[in-house]
Amino acid sequence: MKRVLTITVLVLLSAGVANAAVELNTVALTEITTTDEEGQEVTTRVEAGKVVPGDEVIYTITFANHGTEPAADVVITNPIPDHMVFTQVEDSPYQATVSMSADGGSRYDAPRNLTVTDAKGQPRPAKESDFTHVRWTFQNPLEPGAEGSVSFRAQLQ
Amino acid sequence: MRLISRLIPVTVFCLAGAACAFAGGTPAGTDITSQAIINYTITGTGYSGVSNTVTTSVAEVLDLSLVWQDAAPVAVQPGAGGQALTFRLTNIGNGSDSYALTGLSTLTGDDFDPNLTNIHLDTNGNGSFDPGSDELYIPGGNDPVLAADAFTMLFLLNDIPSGALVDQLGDSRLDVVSNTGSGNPGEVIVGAGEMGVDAVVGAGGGLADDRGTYRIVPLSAQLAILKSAVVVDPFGGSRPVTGATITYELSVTATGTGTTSNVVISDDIPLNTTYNPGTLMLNGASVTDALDGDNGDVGGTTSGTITVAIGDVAVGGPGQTITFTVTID
Repeated sequence: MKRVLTITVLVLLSAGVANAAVELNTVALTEITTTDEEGQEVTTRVEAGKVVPGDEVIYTITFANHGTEPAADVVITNPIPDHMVFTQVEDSPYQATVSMSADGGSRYDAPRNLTVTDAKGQPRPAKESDFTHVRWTFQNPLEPGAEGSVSFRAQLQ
Repeated sequence: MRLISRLIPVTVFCLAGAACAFAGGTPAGTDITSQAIINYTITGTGYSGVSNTVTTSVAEVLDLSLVWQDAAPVAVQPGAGGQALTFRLTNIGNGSDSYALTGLSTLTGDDFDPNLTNIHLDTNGNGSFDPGSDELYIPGGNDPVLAADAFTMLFLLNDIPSGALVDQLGDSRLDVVSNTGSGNPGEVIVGAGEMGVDAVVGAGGGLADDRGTYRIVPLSAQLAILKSAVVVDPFGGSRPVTGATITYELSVTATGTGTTSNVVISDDIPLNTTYNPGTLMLNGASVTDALDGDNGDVGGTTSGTITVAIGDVAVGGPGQTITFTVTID
């Protein structure tokens, strides 16, 4: 029994080391629109402390390479949270290919290539509410010190 | 065993809530969590990591709908008491809420004002007003409580003024407001929601109202039918034996107030007797047995039955008398 526990601790430690190079952070934001002194509508993003059905949340995932070597083959994956329906991916200055999964993360492809099985057992094109994961596959390595973010939007059911 | 009996109602409640919760949205108090995953390689070695988990809580939306249910204006007679209008209250928010109810009958845009008496709850849950079993609503005492997407019927009771005229319309309005809060849509009431989450006033402002309508119909009279029989036997007596004739007389009068229209009287020819053709009379005048243009027939409208249309019967007007004769088989 003691032996098993020791192994578990070692595995956790090695995972901790692997995390050190590229760090990820997630924030949930909502947009609020206010009118400024000149009567112009201004949209600002604030942390989404609470939401109600119908609200759209912007999940922004920031990444930073704290290591000394470039990180290659970077893939960021985010499951669509429960009770949320994916709406769109926001543009990112990083060159990344966006793909989606509609089967719990087994298969990723461009949204138009994805199908799901309907009630009659027939395949039909996947729609927003079918998506279970969103994924960014970076085209270029992340150089040491590089940082940025990717974002997607989802609506609370 | 006590624990189980207490748990069961809770379980049923949750199932009903979960089945319905879809329409009103994600239940208040739900935590929405998200976490990103990263995979990459450094000099050919694969690494993976995860982000923090970000948690967003679902606030309670205060939203309700109220819809008058009667398919058409409720037909009432002048002077009638305790006439019910039926409304359906639905919690279209995403958490349990309780509601305060008020009625108002002094409205404009109608012909007469009903006199508001009180509001009753659909205590027995059958959707229609039952004076014996549907509790009187007491503001603050038995405010209806509805889970997300649950609904209940409410009954608004009015007395109808005796001076109202036929075909006049009178409206009465039910106002329902969330006890958790109401105001401008989007207004936040900190910590007021289910399980202490924040409450947010919904698109409807946390309140709803709807009007129901009464329509005055004429007072109708009560009809009284007096049936008598005279037996004449073949021997000059009055014993009901084979071959004896029975002359029936149906006397129809109205009591109460008003007129009852389009009255049709039907009477079965008794078993073991045979109708004597040509004996049907209305107010002393013959009516043919055939189903034709006159007021009555024998066996034409309904087999084995006398049918006579006597039209309007007014209180204080002359009574109507139908007679016919049968022979005992």
